[in-house]
Formats: sequence, C-alpha cells, structure tokens
Amino acid sequence: MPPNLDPDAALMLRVKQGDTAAFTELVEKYKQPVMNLAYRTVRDATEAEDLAQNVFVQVYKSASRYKSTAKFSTWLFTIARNLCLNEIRRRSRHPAESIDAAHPEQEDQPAQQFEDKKTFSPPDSLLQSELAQNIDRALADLPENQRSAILLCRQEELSYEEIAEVLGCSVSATKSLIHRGRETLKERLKAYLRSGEWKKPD
Amino acid sequence: MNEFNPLREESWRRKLTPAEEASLRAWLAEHPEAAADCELDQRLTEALEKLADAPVPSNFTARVLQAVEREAATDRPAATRATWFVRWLMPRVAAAGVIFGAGLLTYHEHATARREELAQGVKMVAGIPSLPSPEILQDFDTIRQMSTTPGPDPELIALMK
Repeated sequence: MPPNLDPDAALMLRVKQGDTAAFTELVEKYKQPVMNLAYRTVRDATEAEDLAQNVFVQVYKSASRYKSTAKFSTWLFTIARNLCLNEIRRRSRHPAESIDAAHPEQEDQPAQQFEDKKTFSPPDSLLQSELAQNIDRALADLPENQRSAILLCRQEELSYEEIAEVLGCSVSATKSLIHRGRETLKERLKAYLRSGEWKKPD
Repeated sequence: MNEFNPLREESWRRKLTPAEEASLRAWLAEHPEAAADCELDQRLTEALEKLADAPVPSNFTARVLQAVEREAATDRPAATRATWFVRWLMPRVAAAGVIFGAGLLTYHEHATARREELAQGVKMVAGIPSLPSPEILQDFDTIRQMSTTPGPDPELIALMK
C-alpha cells in the first residue's frame, strides 16, 4: 500500500476485501454530505434518505471497480450526483399527482391544487429562519448543475478539479457555474443579505 | 481583478488564510468600487455556510448495511448456481466427454478394422477363377450315384490277369 494513500482510499481498499467495518466507517463519515446533496435535489426527507442509502449501496456493489488512484470523495460524489440525476429524469417522466383529487360530490368545494413541483417542504427542523427558507427555495430554483456545483463547493475536501470531475466538465466551466448560481442567489436574496437578517442567532 | 478573482473563488469553497484575507483587503482598498459586491458575496458565502444540514436518521448506517446484506442475499443464489456449475457439473461433463470420445474412437477403430476384413475377403473372392456354367450339373445325380457304387474288386482283377 502506497505510504501517501488517501485514508479514505485505504478504507475503500479494505472494503474491496469485504471489510464491513471499513465500509461502516466511510458511511459514517460521508452520510451527512451525501444526504445534503440528495435532500436538496429531491426536496423530500424520506426520498432523500432512500436516495442517500442507494448511493452507499452502489458504493459497496461497485467496490471491485474502485481504483486507489482516484480520491474516494470524488468517486463517491460522482455516484451520488449520477443517482440524483437519474431521480430527476425519473420524476420528469412520471410527474407526481395529488392524491387528494376532488370528488364529484364536492363540486362546490375549491378544486384541489396539484402539488407544485417547486414547492419546498423541508422538515420543521430546517425552518429556523426566514432567510434559511428563502435560501433553500432559491437553491431549489437553480438549474441542477449550478445547484450541485454550489453544494459540492461547500465540501471543503473537494478542490475545483475534483468538483469538475464530479460534474463532468472543465474547471473553468465549474467556476462559471458556481459564479452564475451565486449571482442568481445574490439577486434573489439581496434584501435579506443586506439587512443582516442572516446574522441573527437561530 | 486578476488578483481578486482567485481569492474570491477560493473564498467560495473554504475560509481564507490570514495572508489571503490581507491580500483581499489590500486589493479592495485599491478598488473601492468593488467593495459592495464583495461584501454581498461574502455574506452569501456565510449564509450558505449557515445552511442547515439535512436530517440524517440515527439508524441510517444500520439501514445501509441491511440494504447491502439484502443485495448480497439476492445475488447469492446466482453465485451458488455458478459455483455448483463450475465445481460439480463441469468436471463430470468433462469426464463424460472424455469417455464418450474414447468410445467413439474405439468404435471408429473397430469399424475401420471390420471394413479392412471385408475388403480382404472381397479381394480373396476376386482372385478365384470363374466358376463353370450350370449345365455341367445336369448329370449331377447320375454321377453322384455312380460314385456310390462299389469300387473294382482287386482279387478279381488279379485273376483276370
């Protein structure tokens, strides 16, 4: 084993040998960032949990294909993003319909509104401030590649080269995506950001 | 701007070092027109850092391990069939193939030897002179009766001499 091997890569090499403890350690370390990416893609806590679990199951099943020369976090987030994209495509082919359709005997009742696909319904734990809600909504409205680029940028262990590898584009294109996404967020959140609302303790 | 952009881009993904912050402040001092946008950019970065983490259930890892175990159990029958095929069936099929091949070879050798025998027999028959015509057999019965009559008496013949 090379002396300068990435610690996570070393764990993954043990996973290739069937070491469940090593796999558990990787899940514990990365479940939060993977969950963050999944959650802000599908915007539903339960579905995000399923998606995040599938990411790690795929990691385990693909262990034989992992090369130690690749940084584990880059490989992991590539899998995560691909599964998120698959979910987005699946949803675009089978849009959700409201289960509370109006019954004929309730014609005088207002028509049930179909679920707005862009409606963001975070759990109560996330509704800490109006700014947080607005940031989440603004992020949800971004194109997927800009949103993913900004979210991956929050992972400090990922360099721009690694983010570009996950997104499948060049470093300059990655920085451009992040810049455009941030400009949109700044424009939408200008009032909150200038007011200092975001600095108030939750 | 050449000095500002790399620092700004680094500030998006990590906290700047004291030296980097000093460089940024120095650049902004020379370009006050960019101060407002830089301030807004920094506030957005801090707001994104305050973005709450998505809730992760306490049993998340356990459920991942269960899902992995279910996947392994689903794949196991196929693996078992493959193992049975490789370890049990294939050697027997190979042995049967060898025996069949040996039998086929033996039969081929026997058939070849038999054909050679037949060929030798045909060769022998082909060497025999042609048989006389059937007409010679028309006095066959008379000749046969003549052959059954007693032979000449030697004492009588001696007396006649």
